[in-house]
Amino acid sequence: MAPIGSFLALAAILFCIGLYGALTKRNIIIVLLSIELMLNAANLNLIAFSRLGVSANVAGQVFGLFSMTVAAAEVAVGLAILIALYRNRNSTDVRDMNLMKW
Amino acid sequence: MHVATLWVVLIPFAAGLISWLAPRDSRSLPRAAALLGSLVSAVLVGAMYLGYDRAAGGSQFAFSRPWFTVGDALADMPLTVTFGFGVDGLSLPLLALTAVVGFTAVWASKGIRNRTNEYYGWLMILLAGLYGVFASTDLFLLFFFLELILIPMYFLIGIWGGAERTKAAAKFLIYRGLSSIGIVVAFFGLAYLAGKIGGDMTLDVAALTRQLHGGAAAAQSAPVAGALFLLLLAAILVEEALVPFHTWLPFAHAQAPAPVNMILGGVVVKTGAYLFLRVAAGMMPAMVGRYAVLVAVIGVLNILWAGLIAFVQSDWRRLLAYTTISHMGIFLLAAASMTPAGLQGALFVAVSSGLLTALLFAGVGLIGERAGTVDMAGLGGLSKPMPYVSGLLLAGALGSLGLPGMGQFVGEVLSFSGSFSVFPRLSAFGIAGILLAAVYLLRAMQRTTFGPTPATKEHLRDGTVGEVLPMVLLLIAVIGVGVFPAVIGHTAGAALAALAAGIGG
Amino acid sequence: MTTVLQGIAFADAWRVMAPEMVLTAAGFLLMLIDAALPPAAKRAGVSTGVALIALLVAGVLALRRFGQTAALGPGSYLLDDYALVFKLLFMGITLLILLLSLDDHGRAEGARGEYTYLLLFATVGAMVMASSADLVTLFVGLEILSVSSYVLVGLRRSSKSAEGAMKYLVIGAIASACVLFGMSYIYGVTGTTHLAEAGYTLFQAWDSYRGIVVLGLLLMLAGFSVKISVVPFHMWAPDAYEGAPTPITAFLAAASKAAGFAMLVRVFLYAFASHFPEWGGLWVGLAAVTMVAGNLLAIVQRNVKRMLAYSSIGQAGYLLVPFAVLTGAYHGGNLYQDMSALYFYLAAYALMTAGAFAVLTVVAKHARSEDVDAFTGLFRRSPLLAGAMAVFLVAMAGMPLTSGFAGKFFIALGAINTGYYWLAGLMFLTSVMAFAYYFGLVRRMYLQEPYGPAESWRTPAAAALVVVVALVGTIGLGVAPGVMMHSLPGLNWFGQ
Repeated sequence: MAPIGSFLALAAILFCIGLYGALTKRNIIIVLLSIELMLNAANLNLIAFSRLGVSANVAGQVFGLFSMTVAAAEVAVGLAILIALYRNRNSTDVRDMNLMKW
Repeated sequence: MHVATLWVVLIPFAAGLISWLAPRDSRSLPRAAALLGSLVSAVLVGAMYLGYDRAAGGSQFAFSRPWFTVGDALADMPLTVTFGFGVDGLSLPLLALTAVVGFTAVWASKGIRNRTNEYYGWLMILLAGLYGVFASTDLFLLFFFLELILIPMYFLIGIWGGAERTKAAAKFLIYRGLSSIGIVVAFFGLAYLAGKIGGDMTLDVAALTRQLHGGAAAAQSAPVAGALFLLLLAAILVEEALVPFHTWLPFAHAQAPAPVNMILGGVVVKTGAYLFLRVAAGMMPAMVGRYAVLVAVIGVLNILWAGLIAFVQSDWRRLLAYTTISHMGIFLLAAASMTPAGLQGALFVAVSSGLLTALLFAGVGLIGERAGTVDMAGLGGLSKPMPYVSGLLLAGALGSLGLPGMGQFVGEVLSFSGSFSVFPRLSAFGIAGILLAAVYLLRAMQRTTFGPTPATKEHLRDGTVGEVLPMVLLLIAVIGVGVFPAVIGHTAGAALAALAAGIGG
Repeated sequence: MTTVLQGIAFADAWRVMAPEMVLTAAGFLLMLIDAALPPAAKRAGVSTGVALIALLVAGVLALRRFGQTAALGPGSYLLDDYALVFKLLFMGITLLILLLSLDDHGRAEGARGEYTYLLLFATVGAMVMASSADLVTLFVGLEILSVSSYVLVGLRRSSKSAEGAMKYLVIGAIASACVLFGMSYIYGVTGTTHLAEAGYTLFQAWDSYRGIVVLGLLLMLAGFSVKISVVPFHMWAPDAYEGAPTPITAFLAAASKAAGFAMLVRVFLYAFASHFPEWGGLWVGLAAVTMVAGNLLAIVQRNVKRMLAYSSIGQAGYLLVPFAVLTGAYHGGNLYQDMSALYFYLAAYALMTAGAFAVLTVVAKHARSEDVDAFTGLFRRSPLLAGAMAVFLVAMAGMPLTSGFAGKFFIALGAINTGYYWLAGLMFLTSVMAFAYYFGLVRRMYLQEPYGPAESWRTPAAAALVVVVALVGTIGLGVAPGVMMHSLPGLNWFGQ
């Protein structure tokens, strides 16, 4: 079985990629995908700890189930708002979201 | 439990509320409410002044209720803030000053014509706040009222002032607001100091004074106490509008309407003097002793600086602002000596300067109303068309430069006799500053009232009886103090002696 | 930790979470009503009525639980006075917000059913956050609140509203992900999602897994900071506040922020208390930066909603102080004192915020603008609104006679008591800085005459009620802070 270190490293890398994407990408859909990546990195962590952690137990997997549900709700709302926005502006580009500044 | 002191604060407040509820721009009801409110509270103050037991001394007519308690303010120590009012030898003269100036200022407000219900409302709230400052026996409450003053002053300057009123109001607010930080930090610091050395954390004035005096010499010399004192001193300099924090006062005076100027220069500025006597000298006498020279130098600097600047002013209101500043300089010089004579003189100067400033502003306001300007360049020869107003103004100016027979003379004699014994050289400079005052005030009088009367000013109406009444009242008060100095000296004597004993040991 | 999955008897659940259950049921009921009723009936404010009744019932249920302690699971979901006071606060705010959302004829503004039930669900989320002592329930509560809020912000049919919602969602989701990622590390090190157990394990595990624990803590700190809009994690707040319907802005500024604090204190006290000195300083720094930056940025705003948004960021800085200085609280007494100060200011702040936004709602409706110019000469148009707004602004600035002064006083005492003199000084200094914009608005209302004819503006009864309640609360707590301050420290805070 692979040591826990590699799982954690993978999760950390995924989280960083997600964070980078969420903060820099211009298309809202990509941003939402990046956020999903961050949440899933956390899930990976939870599952890894739940199997291979110092005191492994099932709680991590339960936590993972909850967070998947929550992530789904979050992205659904995100897409709904995106549609509303798109109707108003015909664009999914972050740079067009500039009605309010400072 | 005496409720008299409480009523002194509540009555103006109630009058203010009534005035607010009156229909917008209605004149008679708000004015009647304000006159009645200020008169009743003034009578109450007078009754307390007469009823004060001078032999017993201390805080009398006390009303005290626990307000709220902070459970674990310092380690396990609770801090109880009391809703405490009371009067003693220090506060009575200043309460009386507030009563006289307050009533006359309300009387003199007849010229205000717009938004009158709000005007009298704010004016009465201001009075309530000032009474509260002088009558509080708890530092929290004192600070509370000190902050409360800012709001009515802001509106009074900002709504009924001259062309640059908004700026002047904002400047007033910022300066006094910043100084209140210093005050609040110093107050809490003192409470903690008392808690650490006396074992009992409190904001009660009497208890604090006792604890910081008793067996606390070591703690008093602690660096914390020094920092607190300097912070408080800086705040007091702002409150009293002293150089280098003085610029808000001439600006505010030049914009505010005359009755507001009477209260601003007559009483609001004097809260700083009260704080110095009550908190700095009362609770940190060792620190006043340590920094006495610094305080005295600031005092002399103000006398001289204000005297020089006053020379080049042609606007009466700015000139009077600098007169007030120079009076406060004398106050600081005298108070720094911490001798019985010096402290008496300081209190005398505070009271008589308040009365005289109000008197002068009332006169200048009347002239401004008639002549349309208070700039000396546009005035001259007013003694012919307006003999009464000119005469009263002259009396005020003479009193202000220390004519014998008026309160200011007694104050200055006492002040300098006190300060000469401690700072002979500095006091010599101070006397020179007094001479400056004589020159610039007489010059201003001469430019305004004597000389040929310009054709445009020949037909000005003199003040009616109703209009000059405030000035007459103030003049009687200031002469009364000058002829019977015991009125103040006897009342405040014990309290001031206790202050002086704080440093002499 | 399999207990999460064990069955829970209804009676136990009812005992611990009755108010939440009532509100959730009311929310679902409203969904049904919304689907079943014809549009004409919907406009009649039925939904608001149901929601108000549910809130009152839930409030009574919560009041009856004071002094009791109970838990669901092995202490995953707690009933203690700490949770109860916060729940009452959330429900009180929601009540005011619902009233504020009614228009002249007692109808819900926009008359959309989802507005009301989403508000109820958001309240439930906040209440779950206050009660949770387990990472899982905490996260779920946080998300219930957040997701409902995203939708609520986007409800206005305007481009700005959708934009604000989108920005809020993106930043909020990133924050949630950070929190979750941090939580996963804490779970990994301790092997439990239960906060108190985790705290016990961390006491020993801290040094052996230092790097990973600190990383987890920092991620959670960043995520929470976003939720309570602490500088430098505040960027979403002004945009979301400006875009949202005004009552929702008030909800975000008051309830959402209070929920963030409830969660923050619970997590850090339960899980990380053993190593206070390591992270206490961080919060002190954040508090200082937040009060300075929030108040400075507020000065340059022209839109009143944005100004209030920045002001609320500054207030978050003050609110952090009692929590941050817990570092110096070595015994229980001080802890309760600081908690009381925090709660007092939260409640006071919620009242003034609700009041200020209520005034803004009415003014914006009449003037069709949220610009500061809309307030010019307000005293001529409506003395009630102008006077009330002046009191709320003055209270936010911390002037005496108002709850803002008393609240800041208690907070400053706590800071001084623990030796943070400079922090107390900075509080008062930034308050004076804040005079600049608070009094700028007061100046416009009172010192200037209105543009155009000074017709008087009518205030809808419901909004007037909110204003009056907030006014009475703000002045009442300022004149007699003891009413609240004397009973709070004696509460059975954490059920000891």
